[in-house]
Amino acid sequence: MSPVLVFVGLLGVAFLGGFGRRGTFSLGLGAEYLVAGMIVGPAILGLVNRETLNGFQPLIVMGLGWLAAVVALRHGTFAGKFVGRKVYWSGFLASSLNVVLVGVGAYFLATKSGLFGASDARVFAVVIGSALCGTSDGGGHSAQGAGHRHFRLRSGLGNAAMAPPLLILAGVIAVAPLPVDTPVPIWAWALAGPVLGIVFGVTVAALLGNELRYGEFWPVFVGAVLLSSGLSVRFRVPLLTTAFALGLCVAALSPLRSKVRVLVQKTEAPLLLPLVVLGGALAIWPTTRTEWQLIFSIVVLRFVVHYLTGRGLASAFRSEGVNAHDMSMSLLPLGSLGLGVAAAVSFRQPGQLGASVLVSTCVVAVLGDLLGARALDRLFGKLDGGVPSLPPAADATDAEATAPVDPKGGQEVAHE
Amino acid sequence: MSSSGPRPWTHRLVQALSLGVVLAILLALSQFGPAADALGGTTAAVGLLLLVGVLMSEVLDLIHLPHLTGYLAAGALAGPHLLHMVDHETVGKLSQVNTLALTLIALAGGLELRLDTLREVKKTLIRATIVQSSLGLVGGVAVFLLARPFIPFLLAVPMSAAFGISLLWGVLAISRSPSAVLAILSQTRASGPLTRFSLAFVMSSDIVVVLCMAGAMVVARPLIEPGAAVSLQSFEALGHEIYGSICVGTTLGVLLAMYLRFIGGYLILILVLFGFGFSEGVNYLHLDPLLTFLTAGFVVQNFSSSGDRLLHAIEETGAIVFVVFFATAGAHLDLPLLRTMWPVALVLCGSRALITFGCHWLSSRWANDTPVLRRWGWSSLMSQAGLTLGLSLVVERLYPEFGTPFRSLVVATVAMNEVMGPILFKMGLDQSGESGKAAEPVIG
Repeated sequence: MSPVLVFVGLLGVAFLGGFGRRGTFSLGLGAEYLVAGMIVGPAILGLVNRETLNGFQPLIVMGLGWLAAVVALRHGTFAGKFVGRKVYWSGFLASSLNVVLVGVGAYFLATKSGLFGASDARVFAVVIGSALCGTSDGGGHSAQGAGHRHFRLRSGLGNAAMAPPLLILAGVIAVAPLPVDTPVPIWAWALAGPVLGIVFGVTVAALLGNELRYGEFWPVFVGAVLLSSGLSVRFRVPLLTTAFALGLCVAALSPLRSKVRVLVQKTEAPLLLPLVVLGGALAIWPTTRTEWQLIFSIVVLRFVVHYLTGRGLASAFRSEGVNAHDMSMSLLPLGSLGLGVAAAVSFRQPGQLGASVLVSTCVVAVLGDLLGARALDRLFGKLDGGVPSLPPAADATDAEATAPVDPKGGQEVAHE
Repeated sequence: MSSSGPRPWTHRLVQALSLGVVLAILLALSQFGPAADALGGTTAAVGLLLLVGVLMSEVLDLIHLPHLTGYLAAGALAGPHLLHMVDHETVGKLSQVNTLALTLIALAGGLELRLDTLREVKKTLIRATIVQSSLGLVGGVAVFLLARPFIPFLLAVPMSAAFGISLLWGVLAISRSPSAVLAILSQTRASGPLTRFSLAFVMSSDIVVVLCMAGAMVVARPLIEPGAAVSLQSFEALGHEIYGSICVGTTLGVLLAMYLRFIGGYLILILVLFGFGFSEGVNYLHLDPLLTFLTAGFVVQNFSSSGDRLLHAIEETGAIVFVVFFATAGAHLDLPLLRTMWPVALVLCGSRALITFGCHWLSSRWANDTPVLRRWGWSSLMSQAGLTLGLSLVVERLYPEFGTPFRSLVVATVAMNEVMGPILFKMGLDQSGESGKAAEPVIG
């Protein structure tokens, strides 16, 4: 199929995403788009060949960098307010625990399978842990659920869960062989990505100043994100971590953060769905039984770990009246950055390692959406009428839901 | 590319420092880092041109140079001939952005052509077109023939062939740059008689130049290739192209107007679809993309109520696309070539400027224009860019025996006009008091 036709098809998908049709079945990530990508890709129907897909790699890199920056801009906030401190740190710790448990389990499984050597197994453990530990932050439910107390809690947890995998991903340098012959120590190389993101983030915040001007804002912000992402790829440091650090810096330092967030937020859904389709098309299916066994073991491990973590979180927030099973099941859908991590790894580590990570993530994304979507609906009271929404005034008194993470303790200011 | 008053000096300082920091980081990284590969190289290059382009334009704004000059300078600085931050291969890949940029430029051009504006400047427009296309063409041919002793490839052919080649040059000399005019108007938010005349003239001159080039090719062929007969086939093909472009453009315009009326959201995606999808289809049909999208924009503006909305969406998208487009053009500038050909190129550029100025003087008196237009109307006619280069490529393919040096000379003169033209036009708008007169777009 001609690259132009593929591109036009992707624009069509983006168009659907733009109008909020994230999934016919109200699935979080849009698993049906992932499946559509797999079907038209070289693995099944072959309507789009691998050469054509490779031509889209620079666009995918740009998209992933932008997505990470957009997610970072809204990290720690929900509907213009900071996520409650307890909710945030609970989500952060649960996600970190998931990375460790899934990573350790994946290392054990990978070495047992004999598919990877010790060095590759370490890299595999870090990246698979990072790719699979995130969870959806509400996705397509925002229209129905905004204002619901459980939606606030669940979205806050999902939002906080985005940071740990990207921080841990920066450490992949420490376990992978250095990509270039350099006297720079490993720890400095591992810090290169976040430092690059911070430098460009500070630059963007300074350049935006106190007054938002379209003519400057878009080229400066897009330029900084793409430049830092491109440099990350060139220096073989994780581009998602770099772009995430950039977005966090802008959110922390720029007095225009609320306006910036509103402007760039509109781009997330139209960007995500084409990336999901391309992610599905890029997947290279395993050919041996051992590879399939490894992948399904990891998928099961991920679901078990997430379910148990969900139980723990439900007991921590017992006072909110959350159904423990629904809370645990609602954590199963994969977050938007999970597939991004896997796609980025498949570029950085082409071959069996990258392919295994991408296929595992695709399987988790599809199954996670199927298993978790109904739980999310129940949690937000869509199917059974459920728990009543909080009255608007309660927001101000609900310390858990609205207590800011920032040290000053105030709510996020949105008056610029 | 809107602005709402000048930034304070502290912010300018921050911009200058940021430019220094970004360039220093990139230079340092290029010293010890691995070579740029295709994957990271293209992404980093787009980001670099955007960031450095905007910073450079803001810094040059201090001395009242147009933003476009800043983008060109950023591209030239970062490009393969100076700092080598963007290599030749990446510059070639980035040229794909040109398709999108030219579509946006043509659409915006059509949207700017309001019927009432055209009626208002009808007399001036017709007379200026007649004078610039006839005397301008004759002047361009004469100067090129006079410069024959200094142009080696012209000296190597007989006088009749030299006249044929000069005729082709003359047509290129009367071509203008819609992209430069739109970029300057977008930056300055100008409004007034000079703005209206410039838009109407430069947009319509594209069609005139395409027609003139077809005519010049018919006449020049038997002069350049002895034995070749005058063939009217070119006109037949051109007729089909123009008719087809207007028909398809009208259809696209109607579809676009219906979309704006009944759906309206995510215009940026629609514009990208136009830029890559539809322009591919238009090329496949051997139509002229510029005329097609110009017509589409004209239909939306004059036969629906959504023209201004679409124009605003194009300006938003253009804030990114135009920076990359002009910065890539800057990176494309063949500086070594300019170093070798600058004396001849300078003479040709200077004479073109004088001829354009003289033609404007004559036509504005003939049309009894307002004093502002008489004084500054020439300023928008100096820029040259994409169309000129595109037509020179056609000449190169048609006449390989002298096409390459001919095109090199075109590239060298376009480089000069591309840099000087926008500066002169911005000066004209500033001096005539039209800068900043248009309504500010709503920023939400």
